[in-house]
Amino acid sequence: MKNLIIICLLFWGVNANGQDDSELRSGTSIKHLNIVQVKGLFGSIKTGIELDYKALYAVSSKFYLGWGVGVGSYDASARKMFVPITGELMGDLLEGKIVPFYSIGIGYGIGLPEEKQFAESSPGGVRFDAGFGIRAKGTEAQPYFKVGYNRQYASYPGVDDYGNVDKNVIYKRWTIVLGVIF
Amino acid sequence: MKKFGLFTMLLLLMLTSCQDDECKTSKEVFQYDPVYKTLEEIEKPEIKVDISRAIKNPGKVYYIGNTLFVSEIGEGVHIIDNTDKSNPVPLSFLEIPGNIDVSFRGNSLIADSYFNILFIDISDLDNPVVTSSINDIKKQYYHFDKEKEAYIVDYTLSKVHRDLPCNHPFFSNPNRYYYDDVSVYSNVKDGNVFNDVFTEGGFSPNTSGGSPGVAGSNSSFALVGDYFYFIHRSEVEVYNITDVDSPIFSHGFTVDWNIETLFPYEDKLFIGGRTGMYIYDNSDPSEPVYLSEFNHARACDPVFVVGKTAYVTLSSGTRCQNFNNQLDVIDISNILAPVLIESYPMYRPKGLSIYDNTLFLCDDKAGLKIFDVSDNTMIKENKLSAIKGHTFIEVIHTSPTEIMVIGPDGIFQYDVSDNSNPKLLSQMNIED
Repeated sequence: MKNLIIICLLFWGVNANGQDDSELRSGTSIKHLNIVQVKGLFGSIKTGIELDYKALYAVSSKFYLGWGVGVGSYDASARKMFVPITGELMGDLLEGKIVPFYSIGIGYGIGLPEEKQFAESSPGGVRFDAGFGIRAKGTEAQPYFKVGYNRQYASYPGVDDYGNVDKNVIYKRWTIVLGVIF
Repeated sequence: MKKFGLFTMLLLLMLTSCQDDECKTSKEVFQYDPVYKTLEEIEKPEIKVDISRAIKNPGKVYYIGNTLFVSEIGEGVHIIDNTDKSNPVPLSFLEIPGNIDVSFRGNSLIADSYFNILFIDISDLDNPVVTSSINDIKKQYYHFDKEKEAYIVDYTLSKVHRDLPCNHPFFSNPNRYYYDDVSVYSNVKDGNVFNDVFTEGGFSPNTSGGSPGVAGSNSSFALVGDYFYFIHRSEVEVYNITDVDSPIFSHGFTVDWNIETLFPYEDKLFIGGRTGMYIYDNSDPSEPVYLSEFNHARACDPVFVVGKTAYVTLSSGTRCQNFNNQLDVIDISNILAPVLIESYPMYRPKGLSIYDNTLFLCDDKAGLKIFDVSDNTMIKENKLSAIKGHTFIEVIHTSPTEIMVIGPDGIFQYDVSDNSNPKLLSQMNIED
């Protein structure tokens, strides 16, 4: 939980700088998007949550490339926490004030050391996510809603009474995302 | 609005078909692959003499005259000239497929071969001849594979990596095993895992006792006069072998499930089971009659009887499913009502032998312990000596002053004329 608080504070700092940048760029067309979002990670048994910050740069009026960082847990606890660092792609599908868009993120989820009472800890693994959503345009802060899919690979090296036991997990989750672009 | 409805439906569809996380565990386990034999191969085993070979996996030991017979589990019998106990000389190896147990009568070696018992005339050691057999006595212990039309008679063991779902029951019960269509997998290197799966209760025949030769206290074969006894599931079967070329079924009687050892002593027959010791009147060896029993915790339990006292070792282990490791000393002066004199905690006691008030007890990794048992209430206090540094399973007296001790480290012979100071005479190592 301490890790989560630290990373939230980090987001706050990054986010604050991002706002400054966007203010500098506001006026004509937005070349740089700052994004903060909350992502619900829904599995058949467990539900997790993730907070993300993304910085995207306009390649064209409908097409953005950038990077993202976040922190999340796949069972909404101090266990199974990862820090995703991703390359991001986002694009608008239509013109207008409320437009549908897509997004894709591919990268690596770094596993955070778990609290002492938990024996298992993963060094992390590859992850990707993709989704479709709608966002409001034309205002400085653009709220959006997105649904998608998130997949995180992780390995948990361990030892039992009889030798090495390596557990390989793929967290496969549907996602519902609420966020703001500014 | 129409689009929004479509979108909402899609969202609901996604969330109601929620994804399961995928979790696999990769683990190193022991894999047991079955070895098959057809009925014809089992019923007509190829018995032949070969040159002596290294002892790798010794089973039962039988000693007669100055000749030592050591079973190589599943393969046959080593024949060793033990005239000079400080220098035993391997003579030959008698190939008997599926052999575990051995005994001897006249010129006939009595040996099991899979689920048959063979009487093999070895008067000409170069040309052993199967003169008769008792068939199908342990058939129910062997799994018959209908597809292959063959019995599983053995298994090969290897260590492999297996990927299993994390919620596989194998991981929540790590002492257990699991199996698929081909193999058995276990955390532990324990052949009984295989037996539990493919046979009905495991197969562990033991050495003989009460015959002209000397065997150990772990006996499932016994010879009394002209009668040959062996354990067959919960029964003891008695065959008249006055003519070894033609054994005749004499009698069979049910004792209890999981009986393991036979120990004939004077006119009594002591039968060791995992839950008790059973005493039979054997004054008519063709038809033993039940007298009494002494119950104990579930355990493996070799029995040795001297005078009015029975010595029973209880040991733990996967097969024995016991948590007690002790030597029970039982007063059998009233044979109809055996009474416990004393229990002595041990490390993991196995075979034992007693001569002239001296108890020789194999205590697994704790070695061989030697006690004065002239006072059965003070055995622990009257420890004479111990031989440490080896794992010992079984002990037999080859003479009043010499013992042979067997274990996974080898076959050792000691001079015990001074029980306080046993002296190593010879050591036959076991090849890895």
